[in-house]
Amino acid sequence: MNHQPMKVWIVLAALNEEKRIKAVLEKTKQHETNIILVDDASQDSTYEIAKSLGAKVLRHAINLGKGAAVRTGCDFAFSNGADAVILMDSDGQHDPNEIPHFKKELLKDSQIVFGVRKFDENMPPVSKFGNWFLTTATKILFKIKIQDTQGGYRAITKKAYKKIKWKSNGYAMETEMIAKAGKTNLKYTQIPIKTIYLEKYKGTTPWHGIKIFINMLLWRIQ
Amino acid sequence: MIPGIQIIGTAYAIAMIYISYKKFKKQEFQGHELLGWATFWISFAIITVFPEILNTLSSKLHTSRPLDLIVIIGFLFLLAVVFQMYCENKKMNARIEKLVQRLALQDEKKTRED
Repeated sequence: MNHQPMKVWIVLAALNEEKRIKAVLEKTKQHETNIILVDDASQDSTYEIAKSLGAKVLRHAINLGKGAAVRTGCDFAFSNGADAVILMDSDGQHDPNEIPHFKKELLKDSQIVFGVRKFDENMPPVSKFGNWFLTTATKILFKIKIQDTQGGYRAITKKAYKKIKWKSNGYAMETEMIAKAGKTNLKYTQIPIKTIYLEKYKGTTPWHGIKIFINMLLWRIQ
Repeated sequence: MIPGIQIIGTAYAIAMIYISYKKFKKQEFQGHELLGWATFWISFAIITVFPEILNTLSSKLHTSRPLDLIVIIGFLFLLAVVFQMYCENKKMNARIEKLVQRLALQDEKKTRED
């Protein structure tokens, strides 16, 4: 049998990350050169820095949110020959050294690979509770048991993307992706990833969590 | 004698017809929009001046006074307008999203060609 190597692209969404984007891109390039960064209308020099480092950069004229930016990146990657994409945060929360682990899982025929953070004592109690609550709700509503519903380090194949393409523009994209994966019975795996905590937290807030839960109920009946 | 509320109501309707007409002149409204809003405001003025027109309808719908009926109809109309605006806003957001994405992809393609 003639097996062609899987073309994997890295998709990053960025908003005002001029301080960290250089380090993230340089480390990522050590593992994969096909990198697409979507600048979601940054007010700083994120776009220029990413461009100077040789990444393919798309720029949103106005800020649409993480979900929309990642969707733009995935659409671009899949229409330019990618077989799978690895989604990463551009603020340095995700360690690029783990890219080979995701690739390995994709080769094992997984359609989605979820990176799972270890919830240790450094994690704020509110985040711990929020993640437990959304994980339990996901399990009950969509019959899919993901240990970290809010983690953004994931890999998706082209085939899976067609089934789980999310409509959420914000942070609800991560949960919508899981909901759709559960509803369409996609083959998935979970791999442990390092948890890197940053000084300035940009992720899901309790208010986001409440909105995500309401959306989950609506996705269930959709 | 016309009570104060009827004078205010009529003046308000005339002002709104004038604003609608100005919007039509500036080509912000199309002919059918002007006609629609003018009909609405003229009806509003007529009902304000002659509220007894609604007496029959008011008693049939078991509202105690024509004014109560006007308030109920006005409230239902506003709810319909809010719903319509919500739907339009959703549609507009989806269009903006598509446009922003298309521009981003075109921009990248252009940079690559250059």
